[in-house]
Amino acid sequence: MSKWDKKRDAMRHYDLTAHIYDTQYAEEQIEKIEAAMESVNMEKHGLVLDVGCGTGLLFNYVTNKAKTIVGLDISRKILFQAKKRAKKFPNMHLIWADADNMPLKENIFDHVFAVTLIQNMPDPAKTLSEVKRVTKNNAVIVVTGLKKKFPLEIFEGLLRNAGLNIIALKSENLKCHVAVCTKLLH
Amino acid sequence: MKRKLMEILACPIDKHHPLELLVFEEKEEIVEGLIICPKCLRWYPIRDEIPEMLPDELRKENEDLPFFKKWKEKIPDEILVEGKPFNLKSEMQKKP
Repeated sequence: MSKWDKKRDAMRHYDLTAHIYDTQYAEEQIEKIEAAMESVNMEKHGLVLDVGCGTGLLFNYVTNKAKTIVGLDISRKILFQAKKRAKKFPNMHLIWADADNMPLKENIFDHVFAVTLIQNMPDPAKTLSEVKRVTKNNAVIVVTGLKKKFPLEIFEGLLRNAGLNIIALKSENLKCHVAVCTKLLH
Repeated sequence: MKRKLMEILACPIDKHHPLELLVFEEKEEIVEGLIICPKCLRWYPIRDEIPEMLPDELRKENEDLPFFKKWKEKIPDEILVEGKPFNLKSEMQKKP
């Protein structure tokens, strides 16, 4: 299966499940977000990117702690669910886009959240490279990885090879690893 | 889509910034419009207030071209003829 076929599959899957996504997954997603937020300090003037924003469960946690938040997702129908949440926040923007080809300037974001993203991407290393492109050198990057797909050593190696430095890692009582990272500067 | 988003948008393919914005319908936000990359001439629809900035391989001609045709009177000729990934070149050449 080509990388584009995999992406089309992801699109279809999330389009089909968009209306039941929160019922099925909100609890699990919120556990990951709250685990990450324990290690993330945000300042009000910052730019935040939520890559693979899904229905926008993260929005409530970041909109009052940032100047601008951008949420992007590969599923149009899931973005319509996110739009319902985004409506009440004037600093929230949504884009239908591919995480490997983000329509964003480089070096602009202070915080990036990639929650439940890399397990759905055909080449997670490429995705992380694109995440790095749009982040500032001193940015904080949150990445989660499903344990079933990424045993801890593999997950850590993936982040390290992508030039990310793990500053906090949580896995206990979660289905995934939650890593809070900074960029390794060469 | 809020106009402010244009400050940080770049073409997903060649990463060019700034992009050009055509607004077709605007209420509190831009409801329908077009974002154009002046470098590679790709165009991206704004529909239902959401900019659709997918790479060519994930776009659907049967969904995007009807939108393009609907607003063709407001789209510059260069984009109608040379725009990517889809355009109206063959259709426009048939005109007497």
